Amino acid sequence: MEYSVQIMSPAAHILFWFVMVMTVASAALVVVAKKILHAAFALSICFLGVSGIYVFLHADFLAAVQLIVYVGGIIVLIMFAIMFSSHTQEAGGEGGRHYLALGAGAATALIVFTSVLMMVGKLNQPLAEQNNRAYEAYQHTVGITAADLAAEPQRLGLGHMLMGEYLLPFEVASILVLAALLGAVVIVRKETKG
Amino acid sequence: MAPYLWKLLPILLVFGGVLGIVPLLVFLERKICALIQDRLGPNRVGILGPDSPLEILGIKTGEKRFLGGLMQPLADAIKLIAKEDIIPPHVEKYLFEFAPFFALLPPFLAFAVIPVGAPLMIDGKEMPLVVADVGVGFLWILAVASLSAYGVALGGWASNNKYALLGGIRATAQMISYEIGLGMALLAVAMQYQSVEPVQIVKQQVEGGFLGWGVFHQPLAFLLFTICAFAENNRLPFDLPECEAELVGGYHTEYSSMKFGMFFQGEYIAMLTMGGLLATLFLGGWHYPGYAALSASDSGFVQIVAVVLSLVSFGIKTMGFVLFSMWVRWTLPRFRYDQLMNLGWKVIVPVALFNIVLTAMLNIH
Repeated sequence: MEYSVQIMSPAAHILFWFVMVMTVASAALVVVAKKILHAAFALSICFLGVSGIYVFLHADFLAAVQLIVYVGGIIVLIMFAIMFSSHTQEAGGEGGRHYLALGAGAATALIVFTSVLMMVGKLNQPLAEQNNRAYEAYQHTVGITAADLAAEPQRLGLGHMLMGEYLLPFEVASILVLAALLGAVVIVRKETKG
Repeated sequence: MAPYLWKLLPILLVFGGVLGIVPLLVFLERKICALIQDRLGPNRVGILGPDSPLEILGIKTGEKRFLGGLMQPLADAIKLIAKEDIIPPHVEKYLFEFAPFFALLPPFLAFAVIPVGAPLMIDGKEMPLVVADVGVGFLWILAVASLSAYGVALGGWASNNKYALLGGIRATAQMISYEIGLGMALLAVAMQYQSVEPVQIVKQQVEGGFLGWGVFHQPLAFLLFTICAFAENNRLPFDLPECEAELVGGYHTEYSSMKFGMFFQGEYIAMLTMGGLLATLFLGGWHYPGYAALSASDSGFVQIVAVVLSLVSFGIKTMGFVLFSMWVRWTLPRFRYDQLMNLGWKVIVPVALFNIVLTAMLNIH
């Protein structure tokens, strides 16, 4: 953390906190919003913020993909589905807030938060050092030079990893997605025939 | 000048240029529409008010209006700004206010990665004339363009009006469908140039000369991109989200004053952005025949001329696409919605996939 804060200019620092506050605030709004479309919209702002976090972590490619897939694709699809639902029914008429759910949510958030804090505490080596070690490791496995990485660190490294070392998990994940896709089609087909 | 001041130059060029051209586009659209429909179009508000300069001096010319109609966009803009901004009582207030920004901002942001001119030599270093030369290249454009669906979808939903809602739903479905085709067409281009950075892609096209232009290497992608660009911009023949005959005004039915103006501007800026992207990827960007000879000159003046000509060349190509889309708008009838979806999923996506496979096969080393 210290490493990344030190190299940021004051302007970047302000932007960083703006993105952080925006992300957390919109994430909170997703939970408390009374109208479901407001929640969906807040979620898209939250994902926008997450992509901002990727930019601050120098993961530009991931940031762009986050925007294309989540903000531009998935949330738009969710909103598309919501727009087909009725306008009048959605104002949360199912009897106010459920205190049990609220409690469970708070407990989960607390557990996740403390475990993240504990993990951060255990990181006893600076981030830069870890990054260097990771770079060296995949330079070694895929045989690309440091000059290649300096030219295009993001896409080149990611592409080599996906098509090399992690090819099998990558393909397995794609089969999973394909199965989900076909499953959705099958379910929808049955309903229209019946 | 300090180097960071030079960075302001492309920002001013791009954003100033785009904002300045939009009113002109509105004027052009109305004039071209009039030409095609055999009408006169706007011809009243001249450059010096209603009269020609000679008439003001008392010389009878019979020509009442000097460059009549050219100032019409200015009058329109004043009208839009001064008009009462009605927020109907039944709308979702916050989303209603928010949606026009989403219509206006994304096309603007997308323009940031498009190089508009030949690189300038400053203190022995090349500075590309681009606002932000980011590593993710045109992925940035895809990412930002996908945000513009929000403006239309939220605007349609927040209006709480069935016409607007239908327009919003249509726009969302259409933009998602054609984004896939667009992305796949661009994927083939990225494979061809082995890069996603517009600056690098233009560089490769410049090195190839006139025949190095992308349209000669990726003709299929060029065609697909053009079709998808029309659909992404909601222009005719794909303007179902706002088709007047069925939906009154579509998603902007309830909008008035400058909020409507922002939707309107957003549409024209999106046209410019798509035109700029088309020029960059397929028409050699700012390149023009003879650039190599001019830029090789020792004289600093000739080199500056070469850069200025490159700006002009980029402008002509971008405007070429915009004029083409205006021509199409007033010539072709609208698609039916199922035809639109069939074209998107059953024609464009398979052809784009075929193009990707073809490109991969042709580029095996």
